[in-house]
Amino acid sequence: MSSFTIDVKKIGEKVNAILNGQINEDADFSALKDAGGDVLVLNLKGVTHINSCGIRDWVEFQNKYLEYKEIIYQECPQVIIEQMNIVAGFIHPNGRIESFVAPYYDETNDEEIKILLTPEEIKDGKAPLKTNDAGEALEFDEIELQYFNFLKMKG
Amino acid sequence: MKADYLDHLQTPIMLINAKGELEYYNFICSHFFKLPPRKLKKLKGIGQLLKVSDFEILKHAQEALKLGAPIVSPELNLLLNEIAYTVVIKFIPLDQKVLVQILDYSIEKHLHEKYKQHILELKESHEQIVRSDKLTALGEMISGVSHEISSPLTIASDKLLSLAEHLHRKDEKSSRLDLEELTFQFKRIKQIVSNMQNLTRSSDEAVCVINIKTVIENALNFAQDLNLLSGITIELKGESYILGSALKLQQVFINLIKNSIDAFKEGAIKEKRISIHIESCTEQVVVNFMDNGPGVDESEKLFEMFYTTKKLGEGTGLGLPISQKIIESFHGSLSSVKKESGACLELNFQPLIKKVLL
Repeated sequence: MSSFTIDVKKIGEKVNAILNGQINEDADFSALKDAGGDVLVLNLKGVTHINSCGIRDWVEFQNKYLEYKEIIYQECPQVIIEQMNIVAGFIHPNGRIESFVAPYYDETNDEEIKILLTPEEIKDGKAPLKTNDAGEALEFDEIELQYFNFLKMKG
Repeated sequence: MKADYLDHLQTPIMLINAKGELEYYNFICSHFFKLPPRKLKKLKGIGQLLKVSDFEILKHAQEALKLGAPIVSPELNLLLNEIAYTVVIKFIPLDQKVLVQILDYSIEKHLHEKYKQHILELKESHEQIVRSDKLTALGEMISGVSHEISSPLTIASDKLLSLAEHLHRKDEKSSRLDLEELTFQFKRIKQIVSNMQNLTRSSDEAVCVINIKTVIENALNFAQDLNLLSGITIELKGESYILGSALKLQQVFINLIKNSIDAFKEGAIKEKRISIHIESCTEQVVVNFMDNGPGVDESEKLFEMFYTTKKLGEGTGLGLPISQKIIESFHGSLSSVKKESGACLELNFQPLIKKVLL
C-alpha cells in the first residue's frame, strides 16, 4: 500500500498541492485531477522516494490531466532532481522550477547540509557560494555539470 | 583512463583495473550508492564499494579478463544503506581493464512478486464467486427439480394404489390403464433426473461435432422439466453442425432461456414468445435467440462480470460473461443485437465445413 498523499488547497485560481511520501506504482494522483484553477503549485518537499513506475505514472498523469497555464515546482528534493536529470518530460511543458534542494558539505564540521536554491542563483552551471556559521565556504557535494543539467531541459 | 563517455549511460558503471582499483565511475554511481563524489574519490578498490555475500567481485572481473569475453553474474542480493536491491552484475573486459555494470532489477522483482500475489488472490476470489454462483444455481435447480419430481411421484403413488385396487377386483382394463399411466410418470421422472445428471457432469468434455438444434432442444426440455416454459411459445427453426462441447453449449442456452424467463417476469407480457433461428452459410453459423420481453441493456456492460439489472440476491451477473467465454472457446462470439422490441442475442460459430467458392 502506498504511503503517498496529496494535500490540495485552492485559493482563488491558484491551487496549492503538497505531495508527501513515496511516488511508486501505488501512488494515487487523482486528488489533482479536478482541482480546477489556472496555476498549480506543487510542493515536493515531502517526497522521500520515487521509482521508475512512479515516474512513468506521474509523467502520464501530468500530460493527461494537468491543464494549467503554469505549474510551479517548489522545494524539489534531491531524489526528484536526480530523476529530472534522467527522465525527459518529468517537468510539464508549462512548468517551471521555483526552488530545489542542493547538497553541500561543511568540511570543518564534517556535516552534509541541504540548501534550498533557486534557478536564478545558478550562473554558468556553477553552484552559488554558501558558507557555514563561521563564514567558511561550503563544498558543493555533487558534480555540478550533472546536477544542474535539469535546468537546461525543457518540459 | 578517460572514460567520461560513461556518464551518458543511465546505469551505474565503473572501470577497474586487474587489481580491482577504481579508475572511473559514472555519475549515476553516486546516486545508486548514495555516496557523494568526495566519498567515492576516497575509495581504492571495488571491494570497498560493492559487497555481495557469496560472490567475489574481483574474482569474476579477473575471470572476464582471462576469458576475453563478458561475464554476467546470477541474480544477486545487494544491501546498500540498509536497503535490499536485486541486481545482476556484468563484467566487460576492455584493454586489460574491466567495465563493471550494475543492472538493477529490484523494481521488476518487486512488481513481479506483488502482482503474482494479486493474481493468486483474484483467482481465488473468482473461484469462490463461481462456486457460490454454481451453488446458488444448484440450489435453484434442486428446488425446481424436487418440485417437478414430486408431481409425477404423487400421480404414480396414486396410480399404484389404484392398480392394487383394480387388480384386487380383477379389472384388467383399468389395471392396464393404471400401468400405462405409471410407466408414463416414471419415464417423466427418469428424464428429469437424466437431464440433471447431464448438466452436472464434468465440464471437461471433449470437443466433437454437435448438432446445434439437438443441443437447444435438450436445453428446452430441461427447462420444460422444471416447468419454466409454462405459457411461453417456443419457436425453433433451422439446423446446423459445429465443433464444440454439447454440454457447455447446452449450459449457454439454458442460461439464455433463464434470462428470457426472468425478463418476462419483469414486463407484463401477455403472449410470451422465445424464437430461436439457426442459419448457416459458407462463412458462419448464426443462431439468433430472441424473446419479446422488455429487452436488454445495449451497453457494453451487458457482458461484464457481475453486471446485473436484477435485485440483490436474484442474479450474480455471471451468466452472460461465462456464456460468452464458452462461445469464444469454440472460436465463436456472443453479442447483443439491437431490436425494436424484446431481446436478441446473436451467437456466431465457425461452420463445420467451409466451402471454397470457385
